[in-house]
Amino acid sequence: MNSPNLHGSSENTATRRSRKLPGTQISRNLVWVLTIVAIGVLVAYPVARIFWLAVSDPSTGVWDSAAFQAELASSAMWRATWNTFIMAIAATALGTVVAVPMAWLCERSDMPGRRVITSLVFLTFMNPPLLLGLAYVMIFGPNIGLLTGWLQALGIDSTIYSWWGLIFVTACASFAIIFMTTSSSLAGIDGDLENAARAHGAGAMSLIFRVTLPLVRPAIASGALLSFVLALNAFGVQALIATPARISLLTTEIYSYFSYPVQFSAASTQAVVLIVISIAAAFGANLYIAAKTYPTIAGKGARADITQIPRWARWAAFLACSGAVGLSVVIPMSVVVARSFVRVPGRGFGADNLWLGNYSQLFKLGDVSGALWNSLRYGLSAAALMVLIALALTYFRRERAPGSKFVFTIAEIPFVVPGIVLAIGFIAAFSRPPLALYGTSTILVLVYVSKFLPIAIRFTDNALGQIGSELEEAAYAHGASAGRTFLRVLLPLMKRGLTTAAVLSFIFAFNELSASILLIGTGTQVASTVLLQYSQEGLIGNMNAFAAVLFGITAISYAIVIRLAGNSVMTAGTN
Amino acid sequence: MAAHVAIDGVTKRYSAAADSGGVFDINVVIPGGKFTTLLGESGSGKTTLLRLLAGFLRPSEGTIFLGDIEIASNKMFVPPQARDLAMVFQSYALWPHMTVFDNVAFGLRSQKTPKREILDRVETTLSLVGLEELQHRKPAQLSGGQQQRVALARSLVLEPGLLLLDEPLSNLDADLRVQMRDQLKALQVRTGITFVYVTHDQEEAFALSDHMIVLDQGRILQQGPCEEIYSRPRSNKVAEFMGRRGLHLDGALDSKSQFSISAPSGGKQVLGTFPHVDNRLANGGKATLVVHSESLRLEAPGATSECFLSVPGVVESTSFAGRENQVVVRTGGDHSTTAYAPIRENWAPGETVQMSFRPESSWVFPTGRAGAGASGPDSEPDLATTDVADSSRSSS
Repeated sequence: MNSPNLHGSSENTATRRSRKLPGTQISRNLVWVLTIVAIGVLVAYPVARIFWLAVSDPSTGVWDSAAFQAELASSAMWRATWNTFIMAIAATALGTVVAVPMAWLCERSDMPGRRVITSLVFLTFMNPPLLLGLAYVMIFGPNIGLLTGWLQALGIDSTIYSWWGLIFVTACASFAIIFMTTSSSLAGIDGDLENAARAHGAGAMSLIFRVTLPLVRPAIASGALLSFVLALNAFGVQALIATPARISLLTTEIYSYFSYPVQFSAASTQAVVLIVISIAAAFGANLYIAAKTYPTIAGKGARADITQIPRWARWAAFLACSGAVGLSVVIPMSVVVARSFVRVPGRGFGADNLWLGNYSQLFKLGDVSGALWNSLRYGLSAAALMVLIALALTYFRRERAPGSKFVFTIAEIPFVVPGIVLAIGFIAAFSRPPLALYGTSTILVLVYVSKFLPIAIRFTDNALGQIGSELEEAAYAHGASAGRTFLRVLLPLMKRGLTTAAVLSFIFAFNELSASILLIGTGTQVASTVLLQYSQEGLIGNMNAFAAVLFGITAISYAIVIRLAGNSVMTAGTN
Repeated sequence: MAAHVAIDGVTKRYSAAADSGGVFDINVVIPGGKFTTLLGESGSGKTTLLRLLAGFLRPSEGTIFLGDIEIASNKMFVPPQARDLAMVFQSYALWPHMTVFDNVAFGLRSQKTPKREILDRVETTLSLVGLEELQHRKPAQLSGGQQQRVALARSLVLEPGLLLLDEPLSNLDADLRVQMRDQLKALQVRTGITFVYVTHDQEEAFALSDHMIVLDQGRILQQGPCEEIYSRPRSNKVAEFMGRRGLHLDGALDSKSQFSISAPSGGKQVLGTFPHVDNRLANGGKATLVVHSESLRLEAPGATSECFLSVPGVVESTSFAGRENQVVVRTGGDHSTTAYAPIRENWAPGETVQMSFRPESSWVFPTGRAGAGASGPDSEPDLATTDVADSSRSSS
């Protein structure tokens, strides 16, 4: 529609979906159909196959629930289930107790350093659990642990290989998301709701417990759910800590069923149990969230006030929050980096014991450069695909394309499916022609796309949501076609948000472990699986150097994200 | 107990920049037990002043007293929750997670009132605003008008010394606004609580208040009883604010209160003698004549009627404005004036007309800055203080 047709233009503004533009319409429909197919292949089909695999004979593919029933009768399986549940619940509870007050202090008080702490929490969110587990083995592990001796001096006869070690490190790896959802909700509260409480006699404590906290309950619940799922997903921590501690977990059990001889039925039954736990948790959390979410009442509202806390409390709070980010990222990662320069472990950090040999040796090991290159390639391809699909999905939902709401919901499922479970779905779905992808690099890229698509969607949706629909309508009203409007108006305005989504998608895919561990083949090793292998083989020097390299790449991505979006990434991903 | 509020030399600066908003050197006494309006355009500082009273802001300078208690000064700051006041917000700010009952009971629970008493007082207040049926609903299940009444009940139940209202009617549609306005006025009279009401709508201000404080650019232009502000505006700006934008004529006043303008032919044309002349023009000088639109009558040139003065002009444009026609008339030079004519009178652009008015419904102010802004604190009339004295006598 390039001719200035006044009548046509005004029609566009009124009902932009009913435009009669045959060519554009067909290609638009085609893109939408392709998006639906992508979600079906990447999400719906593999997830459905997990259930089918559990109740069928793995070699013939016909119904056979005998193995399934036998596995469900196994007490070892239920012990692993119980352990997994307790581990994830305890880590989430610990994370909530730390993250909620921290979010309030950073968002609502005059605590010093609150901006720095907020952005360090985001680094915690991006940092892979494997590195954290590895660092804590360095610090509190038997024999090699820097501080294990101190623990024993204090009379604590324990190492990181214990329940407390597992729960503590898992909480460190998963609490950031609770901080993020809570602080984003706190930032969104209409300040007048709090002002009204103060004008009607509420003191500081009464204000927090009777007004502020009840209003952020849904956000805390949704953060806790995500943290619960992240705890299930922290395969690096589980492999490095729970296995030596002889704590059987569903995830580590599933992994062990994949060593020779492969026991598909047992693995898939446990996968089904794990997915049922996750979905039940999501269902419960969503019921609670729905019951406690109140429609915001119209009004322009005001920005909430910063609470002035007493000077001593300010510094005490700062120390506590620094402690939390210190323990969950700064200290462990510093230990990893420092140790990567140590020649002989256990001889301290003296000048004669420092060298760069760990790094030079590292790249002489055949696996490392190949794995890094693979992770880089797969990560970049997955990120590109994710952003494209996320863009299509959010765009068509905004345009209210038929079925878009449903497809959107399906695409969000992998958020609550642990990576190792998703991997089993991919094995079941893609190991036979016409889609015999098992052992190829494609299956890794596809599983990354499936697993992190929800994150890409959230950041893309946020970027699109910030563009008022009247900007789009104005383009239509001035004769631009849908394609032109998308390319010339929406895309330029979303550039920053899309780059953020792409960098985040990349780094999560780059560091992915829990799905990769089941899907790698010879030649498709990735960085995280090689690192896990080194740590299990006890190659300490190389392991630290490799971990430091991965942390370096994570830190660079983090710096790019913070540069692009600042602390607002916190609110973007979690609404 | 209805408390008066004394604001003594209060300044609130948001930043050092000259036009960053805030209020400057506010001296006023808000009479106890009366309905007082803070009237001003957006950016005039009326909301800042209200938030200073509530305690959401601290004054940069000056002292505020609520009753006889000093609530804010350089040395002293009583937080909002410890002030004997309540507030109705523009957005209502009802807590969405509480029922109507819990919203209204909130303040009493903060005061640790016994349960039995809370029940009684909340129910009494809810029936006062006609919402006892809806007490178990959540705010989102109520209409705008009902939400507004919950917000009001939540404040009234505390029987505060002072009730602050921040444009509470601005989110309602026109009919409901007028209806709620009457209810608010009735409630104020019935409870005897000191109401301080912020609005930018002068019509609303006149309908509601006993006392009015007109603000502009962070300063008080004039304050006093409503009738006085309407009939004796102390500056050009207040006069303009009180009525629809009407006739402005620049000219000169001589010492005998005769106002003259420069005639089209050159020389001076004496318009007449005016009763309402600003004190600052006691010795004559450059002056501006102001007449509200509602006091102007459009006539064919040459028509004369007794007691009316008239100014000639040319019709620039006309438009239909509901109950009347809006006619823009250009008088000599660049001035255009908006007048209103009955619908049956048809004025066409280009026609010559005359605008007639009574001298007693017009005011003469010094021309320029002196007439536009507020004058120094010495010339402030002492009306407010007298009112407080009266009300404290009657309430004790």
